[in-house]
Amino acid sequence: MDLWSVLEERIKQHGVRVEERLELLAGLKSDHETGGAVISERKEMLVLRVDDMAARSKEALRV
Amino acid sequence: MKPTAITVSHFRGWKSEHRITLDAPITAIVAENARGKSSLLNAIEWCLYGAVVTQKGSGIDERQNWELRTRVENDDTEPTSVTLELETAEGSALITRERSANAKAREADEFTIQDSNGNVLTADSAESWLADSGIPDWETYRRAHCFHQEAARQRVVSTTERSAILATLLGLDDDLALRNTIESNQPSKLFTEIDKTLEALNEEAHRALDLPRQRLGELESRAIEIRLDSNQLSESSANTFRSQLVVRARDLAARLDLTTDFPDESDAAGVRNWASKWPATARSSSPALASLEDHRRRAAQFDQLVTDHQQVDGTWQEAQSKLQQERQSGGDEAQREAGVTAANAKLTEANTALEQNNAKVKLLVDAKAAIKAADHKDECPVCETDVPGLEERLEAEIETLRSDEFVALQAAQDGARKKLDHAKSAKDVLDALVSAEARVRGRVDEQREKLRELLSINESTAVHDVLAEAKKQRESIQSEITGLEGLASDRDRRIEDHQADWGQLDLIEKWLGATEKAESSIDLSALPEWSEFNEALDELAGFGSDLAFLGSLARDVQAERSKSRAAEVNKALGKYYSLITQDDTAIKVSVHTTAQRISYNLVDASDRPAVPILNQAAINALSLAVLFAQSEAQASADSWELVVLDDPAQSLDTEKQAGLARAIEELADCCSVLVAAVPGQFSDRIQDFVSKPRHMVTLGPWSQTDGASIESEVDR
Repeated sequence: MDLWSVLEERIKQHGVRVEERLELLAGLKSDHETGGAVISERKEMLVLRVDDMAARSKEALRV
Repeated sequence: MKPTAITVSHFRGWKSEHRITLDAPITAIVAENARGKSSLLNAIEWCLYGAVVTQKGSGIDERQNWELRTRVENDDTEPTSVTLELETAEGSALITRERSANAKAREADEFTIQDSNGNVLTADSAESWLADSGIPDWETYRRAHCFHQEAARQRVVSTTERSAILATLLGLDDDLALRNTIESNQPSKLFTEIDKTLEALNEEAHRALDLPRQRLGELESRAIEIRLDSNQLSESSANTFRSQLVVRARDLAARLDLTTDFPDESDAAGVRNWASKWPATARSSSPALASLEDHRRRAAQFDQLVTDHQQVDGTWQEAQSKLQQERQSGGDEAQREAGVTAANAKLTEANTALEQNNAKVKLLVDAKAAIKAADHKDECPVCETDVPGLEERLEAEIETLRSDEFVALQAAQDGARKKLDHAKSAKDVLDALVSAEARVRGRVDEQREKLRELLSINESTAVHDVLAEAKKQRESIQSEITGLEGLASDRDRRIEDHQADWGQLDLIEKWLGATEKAESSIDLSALPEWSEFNEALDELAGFGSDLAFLGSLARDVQAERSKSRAAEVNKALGKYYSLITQDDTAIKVSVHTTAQRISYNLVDASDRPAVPILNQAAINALSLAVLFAQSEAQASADSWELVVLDDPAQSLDTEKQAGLARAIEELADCCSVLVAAVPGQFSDRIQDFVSKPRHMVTLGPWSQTDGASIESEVDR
């Protein structure tokens, strides 16, 4: 079995957030050629969204 | 998949087109240095990977300033071109890369692939074919399929390079790439960032709760400053202020004749909105005060005209006085005119006397000249009377007329002229004073006319009446001004009162609002922003958790796979190392796993790092052994079946060169080998003692005009 199949199997066996983790694994696999650019962008996007929402919440608390 | 032939044209040292077959198990390019061996091997790389192989970033430091096309004499405009003929599972294919002779640095190459069905692919479709075909990427090719003399030592000495190469050798490229991707995203750091964000938000929530209380305290301090009693901080007090503000403003508006709307006293928001604007409204355009400026302007006109009149009148009186004095001291105009006339007559008389004297002198001179010319000197030339001593007597008379008489007459003439000048001067002085008096009188008349116009009275009004009327009207205007200024002053005072009341009302309202906020608690969960923040946070935390989990899983799987692959790889590595070195020293790949990372090393039988104890020749041998083991593994995976060796025998002694030839012979069982070598023992070994079919290509001397050339090609 190749790496990806092994990891898929392990994720399924673990039984927690299986769907999300398989999706992330698929992303990492397809991102293989681009040196992880897509995953990095997704992470940056999530971090920015959290920062943005935190800033909005702060603003709402100040009103 | 493997290349079966290569055709080069205008690539580095190669000029005209040359085709070399690569389908034999071993192809050897034999030539002295600088004849084009390495260029031929490099051509495969350029054909497959393009510009990346020409730069320092290729991973081979020596590629810096690497020329794609070596300039030779009579170089033409033909493009650089390399074509690889491939044998694939589906049939044969052609890969061609071309670059025009005058291509700009950023200009893309022409890259075409003709697949096994004869379809010609270009651009993205060609790149897709390449990616799907199983041809390794450049990094894998560089590490697992070719031996660059310049990078041989680095392959095993550099920790990073060695670990990457050994991961490839173990077939764990994907594992390594996956873990690099995961680790570069630092999933554990995400949780630290989440904690920091939550902490900052928590502080903000606490601050938001404390803020109204602080604000209340500030407002109460401010209330004391503006003299508001604490019992005035109430809604009823606010109502009183509102009512008071509106009532007082209505009263002021009536006094100012202002027509404006007022809010309902019970409408707090309406009063707030109106109260801040009321001072500007009250100051702006009061009909009652509209005439104040006109009155002020008219009063200023009066003041100016009366002042001007007084000033001109004073000047006139002064001119009159001077004129009167002059007349009294030197006579009036008629007397001065008569003085001038008399002085003129006197001068005329003096002039005539002087002329008569001059005529008499002339007559006597003529007579004297006639007597002098006559025979009889005592006879009068006019009456022919005999006058004794006539000539002498004439002479004496002439002398008298020319001296004493002339001087007396001239003095009389000068005296008459001076008297005339004096009379004229006296007349001019009086004339000037008369003119000046008339001019000033004109200005007085002008000022009076202006005053009459301002007062609207006719010309018949006497001067003293005009001034009296002016004084009367000025007092009337001043009375109006005083009244209006009183109104304006009253307005300003009331506006100040309004602003003070408004300031107090504003503070009471803010205090009431702050009291309400201070008494209420903040329900974070009710904020839509808060729930959106939590959603984003959950998603980021989930992502971080999944990434961390996958990182941990990948590390475990990589460790397991490393161990399971190590035995097989070590067998191949040991075989090739032993073949090349003729030495039984066991060298193997060691996997070092920690909680954070997995690294690979080359160790001896005692698990000690092998590289530090090896000499240069042994390091080269080890580098080759690793490469051969990699190539064998790749070939067995039906991947790329060609290994390219650029002068691999360099720095190996005779024994190891023979061993290398045997190792190549062994490797040729799994994949084709393309090897470049200088003529010598190693190339002779390949040519004469290897049992596998081989294609021997000998290159001729490099020519400045023709570039590299093939001297001979022999199949053995």
